[in-house]
Amino acid sequence: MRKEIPIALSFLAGIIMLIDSFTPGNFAPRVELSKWLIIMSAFMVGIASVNLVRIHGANVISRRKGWFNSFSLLVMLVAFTYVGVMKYSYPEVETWKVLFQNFYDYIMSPPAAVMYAIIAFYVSSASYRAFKARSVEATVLLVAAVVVMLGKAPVGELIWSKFPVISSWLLNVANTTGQRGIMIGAAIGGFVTSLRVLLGLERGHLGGV
Amino acid sequence: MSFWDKMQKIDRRIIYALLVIVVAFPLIRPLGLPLSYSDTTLKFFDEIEKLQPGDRVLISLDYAPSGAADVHPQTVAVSKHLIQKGVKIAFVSFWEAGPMFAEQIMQPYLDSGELVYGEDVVNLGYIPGANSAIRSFGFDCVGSAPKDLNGKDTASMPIMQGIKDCRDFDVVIDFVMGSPGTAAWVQQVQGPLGINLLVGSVVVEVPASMPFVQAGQVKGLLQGLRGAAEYELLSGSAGIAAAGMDAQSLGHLLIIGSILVGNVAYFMSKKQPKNNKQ
Amino acid sequence: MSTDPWIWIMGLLMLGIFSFLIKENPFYRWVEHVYVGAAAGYGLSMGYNNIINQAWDPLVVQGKLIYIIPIILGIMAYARFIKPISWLSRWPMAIISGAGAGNALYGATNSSLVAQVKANLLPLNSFNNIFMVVGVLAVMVYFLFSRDQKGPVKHFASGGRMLLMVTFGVSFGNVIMGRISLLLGALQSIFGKWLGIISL
Repeated sequence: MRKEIPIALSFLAGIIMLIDSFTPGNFAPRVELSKWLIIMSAFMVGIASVNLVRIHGANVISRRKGWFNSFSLLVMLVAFTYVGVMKYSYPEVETWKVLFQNFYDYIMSPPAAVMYAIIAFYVSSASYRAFKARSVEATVLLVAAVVVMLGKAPVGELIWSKFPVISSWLLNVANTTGQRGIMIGAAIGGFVTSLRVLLGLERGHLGGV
Repeated sequence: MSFWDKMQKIDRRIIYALLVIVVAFPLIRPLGLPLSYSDTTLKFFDEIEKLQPGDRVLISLDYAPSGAADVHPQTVAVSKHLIQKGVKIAFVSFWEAGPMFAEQIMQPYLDSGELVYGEDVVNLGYIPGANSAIRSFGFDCVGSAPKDLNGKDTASMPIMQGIKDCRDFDVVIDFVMGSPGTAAWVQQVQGPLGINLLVGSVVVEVPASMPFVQAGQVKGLLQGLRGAAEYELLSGSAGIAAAGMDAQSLGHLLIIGSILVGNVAYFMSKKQPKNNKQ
Repeated sequence: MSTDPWIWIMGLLMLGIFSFLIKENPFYRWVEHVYVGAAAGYGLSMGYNNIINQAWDPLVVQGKLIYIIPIILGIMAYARFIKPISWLSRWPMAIISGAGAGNALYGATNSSLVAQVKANLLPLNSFNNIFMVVGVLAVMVYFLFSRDQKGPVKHFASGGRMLLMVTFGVSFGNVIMGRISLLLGALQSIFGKWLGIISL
């Protein structure tokens, strides 16, 4: 039962979706299943939070090194959740709405934005230290990258008016050709994997039962 | 250690400092470099220009704060243009963080009374389930989003009247920074239903989206912050993206310079006789 | 300089993450934890909203009793935290991945395989068209590992590999542009909203 039911459920869900693809109009079981999927996915959003509470709760209780950080994480998690629940339970109350937007704009968004922004520094350092034209392939890659950058930045047009033209060709023709080859290959791979999931041959997502 | 060896081992913090300087300087003192338009932006703009007052557009906000600096200026510029044209907008999101961007955009217009919620604009919120959710919404918009972000019935809203599936929107625009995004919209909705799909993407995702553009599955594409800057200028309202283009130029020059100097140092250092290397 | 306390919170949190560039430090770690907590709290809020709108309301207000099934399945996902019944969490996962596979079978095949092959069947009347037709074939031959690549096939595959290098070069150029845009956004917030040095 632990193995067969999940495989049967996978097959059933997949077949409903597949039949819908070949059915004109809305296939009723697919419409219902789609709503179920949305509901199940909504529940799954909380799984990561349960994990966080377990790990960081244990850190705080046993006063492990860095427990204050864990405590701050839990405080933030509880506070944001509380404000969110109040906002969605009482949408007419302006205070909760403003507080929720402020939490999002000034506490959640800025660190996320900077975490990705600092990659610019690592890229600039890596371009100096690591990107060397050690082989023909590496040289081709570097030249393509440099031309694309010059073509996309307004300053490139001032240096040589043809940079945007070459850059555009590299993106629209050469890149599209390469990406299309990869896409076709990936689609064939995806087709086979999907078929294996439906037939119960691929079970990694079920914990390898 | 020779000069070129020393050049190879330059302190990374010097490069970091240079990057901050070259990006920050033009923000404070703009250089006013000219900007040309890419063909994908022009196609995107032309599709929007075809819309008439009263037409309805679906905007799918599939990004998060981590990539917002590259794509959110596009959403702002396009939404502003649509509102100026009297086009009605339904926002939806398949990324958790998406609905709050819609709130940021709508709120000033709702506060000023320029737009009426439920009539001119609606925020359908976040629909979880990635590709399956996109398919579900694409085929049954109101059924998949029976309530808006704040729990109001969507079926009774004037803006949603007559909307069964995504074909009932005149244009669907996906602003995207990853997966689910362009590929999911093309595979799950555009392919089966043949909707009029435009995409605004972070620049990192652009190369992978190009086959869809060339195949005509995506009618127009805005490419990152530069795409936003081009759109701002085309629609006659230069904003935050256009202001950043000078800084982007100098940032690119620094990286290109780094690659060149790094390579020259590498090859010169290799050329040095071994006994000079001590 | 801004006098809004929210803007100051934003600025300090941003500085905290930027401080990682010097070296990992306690302030960075604290901001990192605050961020993770906020993101998880935000996710829970959205999950709560969706459960109320998509499940609870139809079940309780509209009396759609069938929705008990996905609600139970959704709760079953949490069985993973209780060892004796952790296997129950596979049921909702099986339905979600099965449906995903079913969607992909047609959707991806139709749009990323058939449509792309069709789009590449170009008339051989221009350099670009010939380049695209031959180029896609070369890339696909490069990925053909089921037989040894010798002679002309090897040269053709080498051409495909070179084309992939151009493709990766374009992607790399775009990655750099993207990261600079993100840095620009962060600096605009600090110099504009917080310090008031530039007007936004």
